[in-house]
This record gives sequence, C-alpha cells and structure tokens, in this order.
Amino acid sequence: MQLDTREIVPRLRALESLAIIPRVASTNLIARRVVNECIENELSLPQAMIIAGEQFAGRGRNDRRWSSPAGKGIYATTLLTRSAQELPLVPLAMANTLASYLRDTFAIEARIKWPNDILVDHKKIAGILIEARLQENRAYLLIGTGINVEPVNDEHRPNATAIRELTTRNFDGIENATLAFIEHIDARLARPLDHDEVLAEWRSLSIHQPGDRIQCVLGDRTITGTWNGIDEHGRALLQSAGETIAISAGDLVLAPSS
Amino acid sequence: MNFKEILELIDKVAESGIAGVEVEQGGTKVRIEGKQSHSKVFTYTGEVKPGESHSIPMAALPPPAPAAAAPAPSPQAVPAGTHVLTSPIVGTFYRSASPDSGPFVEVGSRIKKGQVLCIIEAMKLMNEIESDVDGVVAEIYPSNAQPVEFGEPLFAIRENS
Repeated sequence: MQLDTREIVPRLRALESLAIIPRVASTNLIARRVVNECIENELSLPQAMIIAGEQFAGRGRNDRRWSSPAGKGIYATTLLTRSAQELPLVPLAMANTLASYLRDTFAIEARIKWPNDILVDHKKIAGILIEARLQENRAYLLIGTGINVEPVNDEHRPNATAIRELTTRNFDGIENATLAFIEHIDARLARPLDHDEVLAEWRSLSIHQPGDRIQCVLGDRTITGTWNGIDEHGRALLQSAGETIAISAGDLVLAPSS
Repeated sequence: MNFKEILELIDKVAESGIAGVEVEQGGTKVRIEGKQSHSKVFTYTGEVKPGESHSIPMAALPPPAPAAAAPAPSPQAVPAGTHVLTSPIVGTFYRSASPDSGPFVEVGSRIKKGQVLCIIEAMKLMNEIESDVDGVVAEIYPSNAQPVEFGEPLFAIRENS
C-alpha cells in the first residue's frame, strides 16, 4: 500500500496516529499489545488506527476466520477511549459508521443486521469485532473492522459480497478506498456520541422490519419471535408468545418469512 | 472445620493436582475434587453448626434436584476474606478468549488485581472483566457460554491476607 501516513495524519481531527503495516497476524493482536502496554504502565491510550495490507490470522467473532488476503480488503483496528456510560452505544455507532461509509463513498445500499453486521442484499460486506477493557470509568476499546473490497473466492464465506461487485461509481482502487475509510472514521470520531442520534441513524439503516421473523440463539436456548425494534439501550426487542423480550446478547438468525 | 480451613484445603488440592479429598470431622463431611473432575468443585454434606458465622455459598451446595439450577449466592453468604466479583453488565459469559484457547483462570489460580478473568459479550462487544483484588479463585459460578445478568456473581476470590 502506497499511502503516506505523513500526508494523512495532519488532516485528521480525532485520530492522533496512524500505522499502515504491509502484513500482520491481525491488527487486533497488535492493538491488544498497545492496550496492555498502556494499562501496565498507566499511560493514556493513543487514539490511533492500525491498518494492515494483509492479515494472515484475521479473526471475527467466536474465532471465526476472517479471510484477509493482500489487496482484497480494508483490515483495520481503531484504538479509542470512551466513558463506561458510552460503551453500549459503541457497537451501534460503529455499524452506522461503516454503513454510511459504504453509502456515501460508493452509493452501496448497505444495511445493518442487529447489532452490527453490515449486509447488502443479505450478503455480508463488512464485519466488526470490538473488544473492551474497563478501567474504573474508562473503557479502552479495540475496534476491529474488515471490509471486503475485491471479491474473494473463499469457501469460508460463501455468503459474502464486495465493494467492487456493488458500486455504481467509478471505483479507483483499494488505496483510495482505504484513504476514504480513514477520513470517514476520523470525521465520525470527531463528533461527540449523541445517544438519540445514534439510535435514530441505526434504525434508519436497519435491515429489520417490524414483524420480521427472528430467531435468537443464546447458549443452548433459542427464542423465536418477531422483530419489534430496538429499545433505548440498543437491545433487540423480540415479540414472542405475547411477551416483549429485550435481547442484549446472542446471535440473531433471520428466519425466512412464511 | 471452619471455612478458612476448607478454602486452604481447596488450594492444597488445586496445587497438588490430585483428584480430590474427603474429610469428615464432627459430623461435617467435606469432599473436594480437583481439576480432573467435571463436577462441582466441592460439596459440603455436613451440617452447619448453629452460631457458625460463616455460611456456605449456595452454589457450592449440591442442587436440590438435577433439573433445578443452583441459586446464585448472595455476596452476604460468602465468608469474610472472600470477595465475590459480580457481572457489571448483562451478557454471555466466556471463560476463554476464544473457543480454541485455554481458560483465563481455573479454581485455585492465583490472580493479581487487574488480571483478566473472563469475557462477557454484550451487543457483540467483548468486555474483558478484570479482577479487582489479589487472591486465589475459590469458585467460578457460571458455566462457559452461559447468559449472565447484571450483578450476578461470577467468581469467588479468596483475598490475600
């Protein structure tokens, strides 16, 4: 990747530093080392972004492999500090950020599956993995993001799509896509997190419609119901057997409508 | 046999790697099983003497019926010198960083303040939960991948004196 961080960093408003590394195991692993060093030495965490040209051990949730070959995607981890109170908003705010990046930059109709999978026509285009370490009232956050830029033939993700396959605009390469990504994230981070704004934007970008049939898998339990929106904490509301159940953990499965 | 002695015995069993030990004393029988066992860490089959200031965490007692889960202990039920770490959020409890890696801690693990003990996932955010004291893990209440509520006990930690 030929991006010059010395040219980019002075233009950024929220991010203090940026590292672009050709090949890493995973950007979250590097970020974790930084967080551990900062905690052990009682240093404040730099608001920073680490970008990799290629990851040879990229991982999603539950240790699922996230295929990250060179030149095919944007693989990044953003390091942030937030107050503990803001923590529940972060997954939704990050989903809004990625969906709006795809919409604004590439005119792609990206939508959000609760809480933060980014889909286009039910195919995954981007994923988020957030890790947090709470220290008193401050949360150190590692926000891993993977965006598919070029299509990849990969048996591990048959239901995936990529920017190149969907954009109707002139696509001018992964470097410009990466630069636009850095600038978009930075502009969003420079704005304070407004609770109502985050929820309203999330609702407008949600893939779910009231009445959609949903299954929620939580440990060995499965709850089936219909989508009833999100509450003020961002929890998914499921209407099931005459009851409204608020869900903050678990995997949502979109059941086919009968 | 008082609670301090029971906890010391747990440490000894954990350190020695033996399968377990059973002690009967004055009508009180205590059985402690080591890491190899998948059953409860210890079962207390004796009576608690009247006037005994320490009580047994409910989760350490055998469940009343196989189908019923042991009720969560209240922090008040835990002996002095034992700290109960509770869940700061609603979510799913994980004992390891990933399905392939080993657990952060086991019963008997010596831990430091600030050490990560588990992960609680909420809204796809993996929250690393740290110990707020130095000590030894005496009990791990939820099982792996179990949903936990706000304030639900996660670990009993015998604090270093």
